[in-house]
Amino acid sequence: MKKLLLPLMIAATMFACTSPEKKAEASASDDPRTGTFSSKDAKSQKVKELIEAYMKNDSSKIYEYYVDTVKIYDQMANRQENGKTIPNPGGRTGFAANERMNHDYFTNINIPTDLITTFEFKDGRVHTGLWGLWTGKGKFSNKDISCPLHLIFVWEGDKVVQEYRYFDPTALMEEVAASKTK
Amino acid sequence: MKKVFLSMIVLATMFACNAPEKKADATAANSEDTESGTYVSMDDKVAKIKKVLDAAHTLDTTILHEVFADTLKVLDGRVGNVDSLDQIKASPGGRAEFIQGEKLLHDLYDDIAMTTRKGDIKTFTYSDGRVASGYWGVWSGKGKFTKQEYKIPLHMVMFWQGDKITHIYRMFDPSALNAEVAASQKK
Repeated sequence: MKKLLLPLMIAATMFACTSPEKKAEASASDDPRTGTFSSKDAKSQKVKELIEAYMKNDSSKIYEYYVDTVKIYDQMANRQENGKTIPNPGGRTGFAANERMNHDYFTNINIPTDLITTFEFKDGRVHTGLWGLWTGKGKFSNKDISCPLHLIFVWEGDKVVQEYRYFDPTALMEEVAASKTK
Repeated sequence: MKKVFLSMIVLATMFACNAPEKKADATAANSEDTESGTYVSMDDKVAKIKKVLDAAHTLDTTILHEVFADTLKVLDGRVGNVDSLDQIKASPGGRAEFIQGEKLLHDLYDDIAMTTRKGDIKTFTYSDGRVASGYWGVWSGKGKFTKQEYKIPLHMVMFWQGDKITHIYRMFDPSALNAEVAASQKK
């Protein structure tokens, strides 16, 4: 009887060992939008370089890290079609020109780069997110502007193919309007 | 001897059972990178937030009381809404004022809805133990005064303590809200 009991105990323990893992695997496999995130990775570093170059009005990193067909989605009100935001025209060239134009309206542009995180999805997608505070001084209004900013960069390989930008555009609109009155 | 041997096998099997979990914990806890961790789009917290967003249509405040702490800090990422340390300012009034704000939206808009597509909501567990949920979706409504239909992309980050949300950061283009408030004051 003892001989029978001990192998049974071993078998039961081994079975108990595999059960929770199988449950976890089943749960994870139901959710394709799982993954890991980190802030000390190569893509977060590239985004940091992009932001630092933007602050210096240097477009070179845009040409290095974005595909020429990049789609830039400004997440503004009523710019949606079929449930998706309409991308800005012009791809990488249009985007680079737009970034340079920011410096026509504002001086002392700054964005902290201490909250940049890269998300690696189980299905292979890779996104990098930035949360920060855009600050600058209007060249026409002379107002100091502070604007919370959230960016999401979508990667294919080592290139950015899409970028989503969330921010309150009020100050930008006001500065553009102020520039037209001068 | 046989008894000792068999007992050792049982113990070894039990130990082997725990080892992989400990290894996984150690990997997740990257002490050099506090902005690291794991995320999912299907868990209890995502389900709770989905209920909150679904309730926006009917303004069922029961779920808001259930999910948000009464000391809730609401931090709206609007231009200029920052303090001297460049931190987003919390609106006063905690959960009660947050709910009042939600009620005000129903005075301004009909047919309020928020998308809850797969993947719009995710829960992030940081290596240092923090838990946050993120939302990337679209708010929609029809202005009662302008009669205009609005679709506004909305990003929110909600930090949890236990089963309650204590902080909610919101980022969106407020121009439609400003327009509707202005129209309401003209009538």
